Amino acid sequence: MLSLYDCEFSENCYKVRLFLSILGQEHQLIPVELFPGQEHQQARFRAINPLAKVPVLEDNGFIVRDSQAILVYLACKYAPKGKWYPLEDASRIASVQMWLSFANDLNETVSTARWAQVFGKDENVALRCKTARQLLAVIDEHLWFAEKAGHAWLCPGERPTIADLACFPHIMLSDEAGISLIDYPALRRWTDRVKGINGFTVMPGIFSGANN
Amino acid sequence: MFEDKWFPVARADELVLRHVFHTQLHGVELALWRTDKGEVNAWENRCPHRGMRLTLGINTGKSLKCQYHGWQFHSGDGQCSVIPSVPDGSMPHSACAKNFSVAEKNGFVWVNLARDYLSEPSTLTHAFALPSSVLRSITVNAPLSLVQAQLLNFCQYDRHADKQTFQAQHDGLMVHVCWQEYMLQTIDVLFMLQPAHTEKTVIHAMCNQSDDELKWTRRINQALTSLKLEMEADREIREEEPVIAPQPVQALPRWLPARVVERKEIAEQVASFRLHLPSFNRFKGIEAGAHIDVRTSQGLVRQFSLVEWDTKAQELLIGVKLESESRGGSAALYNEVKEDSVLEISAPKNHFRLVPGKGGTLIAGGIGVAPIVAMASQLEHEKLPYHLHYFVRNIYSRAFVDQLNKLDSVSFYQAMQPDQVAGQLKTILAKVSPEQPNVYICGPKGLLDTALRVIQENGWSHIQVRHELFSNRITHQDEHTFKVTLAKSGQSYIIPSGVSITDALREYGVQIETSCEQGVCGTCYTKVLSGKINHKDVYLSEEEKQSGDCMMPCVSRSASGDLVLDI
Repeated sequence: MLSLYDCEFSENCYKVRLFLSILGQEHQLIPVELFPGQEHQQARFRAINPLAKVPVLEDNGFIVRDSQAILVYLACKYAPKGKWYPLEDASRIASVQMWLSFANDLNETVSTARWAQVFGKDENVALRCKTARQLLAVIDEHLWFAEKAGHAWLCPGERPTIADLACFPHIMLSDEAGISLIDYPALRRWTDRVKGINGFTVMPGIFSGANN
Repeated sequence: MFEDKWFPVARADELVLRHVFHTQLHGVELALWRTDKGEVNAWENRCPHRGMRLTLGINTGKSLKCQYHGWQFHSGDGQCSVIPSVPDGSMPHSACAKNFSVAEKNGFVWVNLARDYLSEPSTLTHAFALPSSVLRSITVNAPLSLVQAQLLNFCQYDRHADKQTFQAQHDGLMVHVCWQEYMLQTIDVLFMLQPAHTEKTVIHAMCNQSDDELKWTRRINQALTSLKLEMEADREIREEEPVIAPQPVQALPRWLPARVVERKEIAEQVASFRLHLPSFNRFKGIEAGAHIDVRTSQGLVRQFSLVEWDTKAQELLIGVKLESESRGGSAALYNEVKEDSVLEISAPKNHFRLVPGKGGTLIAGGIGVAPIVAMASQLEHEKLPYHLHYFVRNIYSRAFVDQLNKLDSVSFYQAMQPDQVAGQLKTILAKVSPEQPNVYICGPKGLLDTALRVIQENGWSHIQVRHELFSNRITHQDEHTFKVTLAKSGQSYIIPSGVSITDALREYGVQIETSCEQGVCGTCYTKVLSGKINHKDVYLSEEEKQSGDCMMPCVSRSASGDLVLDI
């Protein structure tokens, strides 16, 4: 049985829940109260993840931390080979990895600003938002030219990959960081497409799309 | 009020299927969306119900559905077509998305905030001849004047552009640059500026190089990105609160000339008129249940439901019955209007829409069959279950028989006494299931009243009746000038006819907070100390209206005499 140490409001936990829902993979959620309980800082949780962060996935005693790593693990173990994490050619693997890292950059900027706005953590919001806008402009431009080339997703190919799921939550919740997606039309169209993936699920602040 | 000007607001191909495009013009947030048939709408990004952003909602292909309470607003007129919590179909006809005049031209979507959706985009003109290729639009967080000035130096951002031959000129909202490249080829680039708000400008671009469009799109995009990064480097970027747009003015005359191309006697004292319109622009998004106003030569205005319409031929079909108690309207049309006569008609309105995606039981009496025929045709076309029940005095009074004969599921009833009608309606309504609860009725008032009575007597509360409601619209015909006194200041103000209390008081510097301005949302709820109120809202309950001590001053007025408000 898969167990996910989870916080409902965390975009990183949501991306794992989203992937589990898309895969239709049975799992249990173990809620970890980040705020105001600070459960992730307690010794009991540090024994599971010394970095004191959610999400953490436990699969029959095997522990994976870091949301991007969890997506890779689930794609390799619980999905048909290469369907969500292409392994057949170097350029596609590189492309997925590039956007997984980008998701981490979004986490450090958009999402850190969001937590500061929503949960009152003291961070340098203005600077993070400025960098966030530069990142969003880059991914918007990438997706605009991808559309031109007939690609619907972040990485070339017929199907979405874990790269799309990794970036999606941070982008979809940018509004709560004080950044409107109004300036990123191609990004907004891509969020429509992600919402159309079979098995899509929501979290507080993210609405369902037309098909679900 | 906004200037009567057209601005590009998006590349036309970026309004993709079932998407809601989000942009801003002069601070007004816009929700741009396309129906599955390709019609483009430009609406204020604000649900008239509770102010939720419509860009968070869902494009159903025909309507825009707000994410908050599921209200749906229909393409074209923006009227509310579905309220999930009001399943009986008594939709407030005044609940309407604010919609602006919109046009698709030269690969862009253009919006004019000063005009409403009925305006023809004929005023859309260009100062320059437009080049052919549409490039990628870029948003710069800087005022329009600074962006324009920077674009005049465009060659410093494009390292391939020839500085020697570079020329730039501007015309208000456009910047035209050109230079020569190898083989003396002239490169023309036109930038068109969209003032999103005072601190944000969108640059739309076109160029004359159509051979390798993607190469040029990338090249100009790269140069504009450099310009953007440089301009934004030292600027603080803020999201601004959207500006609430005033109601756009209807710039066109209300009446359109329509030529009668065919007049046919189709039943006893019923004639059909096929009307041809020189422009069908105002008829986009037309659906079964719509009606038009027709103005007779004596200036009388009557409503007629549309039976058929043909967008390509630009034709409409209506039916006119010579009423025995005609006040002159139907008699003038029936007797005097011949083929080649020209009538004056209004743009269509629809207060009698089908529930999207659901079948229904259709009941018509006499000439009331007109919208019902259109509804049956639409349901049959959409392969939804329906049955049409048509009550007539005798077989000679059946109207639109040609159209009815083409339908699969019609029953006729004639020469019935009132108690027989009630019995027949009971048989019909007993078959209405909770899964298909929608019943549409159009005909004499007696037919509707009987149906409602049968439903009530049998306790069939699952049945949802929709009927044509000509009388529940906000009309301005009965309006007169009156005086409003504000109790707290003792000041009195004149409210002219055609101007709402809230608008008039705002002119005098007295603010009453409003939101929908359509008598729907309840924001402007105001206590009344004395005076007789003419309630025009759909917010207050019947008891509240009866009490006479409160009103919605965004639509309601004085019934007679002056009003004293408790503010």
